[in-house]
Amino acid sequence: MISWYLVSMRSGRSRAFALVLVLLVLTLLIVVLTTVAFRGVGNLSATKVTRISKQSLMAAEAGASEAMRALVEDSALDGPQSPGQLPDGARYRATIFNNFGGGVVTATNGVSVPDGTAYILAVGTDTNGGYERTVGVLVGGSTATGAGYAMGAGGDIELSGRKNISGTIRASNDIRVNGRMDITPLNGNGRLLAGNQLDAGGNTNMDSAQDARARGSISGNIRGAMVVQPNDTTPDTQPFINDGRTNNTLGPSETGRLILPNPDQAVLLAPTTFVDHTGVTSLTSTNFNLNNQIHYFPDGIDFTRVTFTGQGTIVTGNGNQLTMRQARGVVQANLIALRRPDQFPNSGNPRVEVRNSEVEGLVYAHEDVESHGSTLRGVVIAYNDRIRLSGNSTVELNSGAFSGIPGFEPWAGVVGGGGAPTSLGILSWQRG
Amino acid sequence: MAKRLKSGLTVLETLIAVTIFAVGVMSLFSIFPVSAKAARQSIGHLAAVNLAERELEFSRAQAYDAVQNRSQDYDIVIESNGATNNLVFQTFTEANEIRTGLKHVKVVVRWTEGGGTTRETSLETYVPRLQP
Repeated sequence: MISWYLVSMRSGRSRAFALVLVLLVLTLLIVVLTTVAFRGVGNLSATKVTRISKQSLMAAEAGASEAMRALVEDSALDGPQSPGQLPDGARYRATIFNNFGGGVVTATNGVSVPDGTAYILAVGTDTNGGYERTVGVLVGGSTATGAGYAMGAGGDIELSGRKNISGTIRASNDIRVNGRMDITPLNGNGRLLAGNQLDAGGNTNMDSAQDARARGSISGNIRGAMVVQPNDTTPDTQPFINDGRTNNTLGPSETGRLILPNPDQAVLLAPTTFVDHTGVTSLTSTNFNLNNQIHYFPDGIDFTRVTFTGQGTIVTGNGNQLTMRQARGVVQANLIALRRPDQFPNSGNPRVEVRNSEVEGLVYAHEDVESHGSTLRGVVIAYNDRIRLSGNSTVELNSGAFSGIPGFEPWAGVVGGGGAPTSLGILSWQRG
Repeated sequence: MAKRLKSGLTVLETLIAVTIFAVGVMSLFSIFPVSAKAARQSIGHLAAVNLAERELEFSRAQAYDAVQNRSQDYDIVIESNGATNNLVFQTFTEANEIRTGLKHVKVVVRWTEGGGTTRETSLETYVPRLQP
């Protein structure tokens, strides 16, 4: 260029060329300076885009959250949910891929949904449908007991001695605790919920994410709980519904309440399904083969030092008691004490008493349950009255305790069967 | 004479060109403060958005009943291109139960820039209760 310039000078064209050269340099400088000058403005624009994109992601999470809540209230929900919009304008839409019932379910993004879970795929956008972001959430449901409670009583729950509890303790009336108690959450449920007073006389240790609530006063020493709420007014402390109904359907004025399970006895004790032990009221130091059957003791039964084999269900009827003392080995049985429908609400004494035994299954009585020095893995329910624990006791919630017991289907089928409420646990949360 | 005139014109042309150049550059210089301000604003805005997201995630990590109104201050030193910016952010989390078991959570973040201008940004979402 320089040689060309010199030639141009010599050829008398320098006058025009000087201007061209200066303009060229000027143009280059303007380009460079403009780039630098607008960098800050460009950064600000990029930041605003970042904010919109994050809000779209939050909208997707809002859609997933709304779908999860809907699934809690109706576990049978499946397919696209109604699209929604957040107050500031971001939009969302979510689809539930429900596989609580088991089978082969694949989401539209190719995710294979495992048995017993549901997958929620949610999309969020800005107000105009741009900046699309997605969230995929895999949730599991707790089967059988929608509330996830390990112990539920239509009356009081009295706990003394040293106790380890996994799951929520919920009573329609008072909960009284003496001695040390450790409550460990299971599926996110490790709560203390009293329909009246809560008296924790010993040291009660709870998880920091759990709460203790009572409709009346709370006294004693409750450690670690995130919330200790006396005079509670939330639905969680409303008394159970235990009016004898054998379905799990809430009436129009019963929103938020829980119905204690009550088996349909015509189904549980259908003539062809149970083994009749009429006249047998006591078995001591013997072997008993459960043999996957329902064993009906209409006159009540007292098992003492019995060795059980197999799995099954033991039922006493007509308002009579079921007693299990010093069982040898682990008893894999549901223990159920019933009053006849015509004995409702208070006739007879249908109670279950477990002493120094280890039971895996449902422990259920129409009146009350008493356990001393025992380990109970399942769900413990006193339909009408109280649960009393003493000695060194362990209660571990097994949310599948109702499964396979005839007559309990409305509660056993909570997940994927009938659309009843269920508790959810988040298994994975993916953002895109 | 003609040669001298020719040289003089070249100088004049150069002066004109330099003038144009100066005017162009001066006008560009006037953009720099705006750009610098935008750059500072960008830094504050980005930090605020990330804080809003942080607060929302904090709420989501709580048990449902613990998702409540709260405010939090953050004093953040940000270094960018050799410059140090010290910004104080205030976050305000508003949680309202819009229906049983579902809360609307909105985080508003406010901060004041060096020039005294107060700015704010926000993010919002829902948080569900996972028990009946």
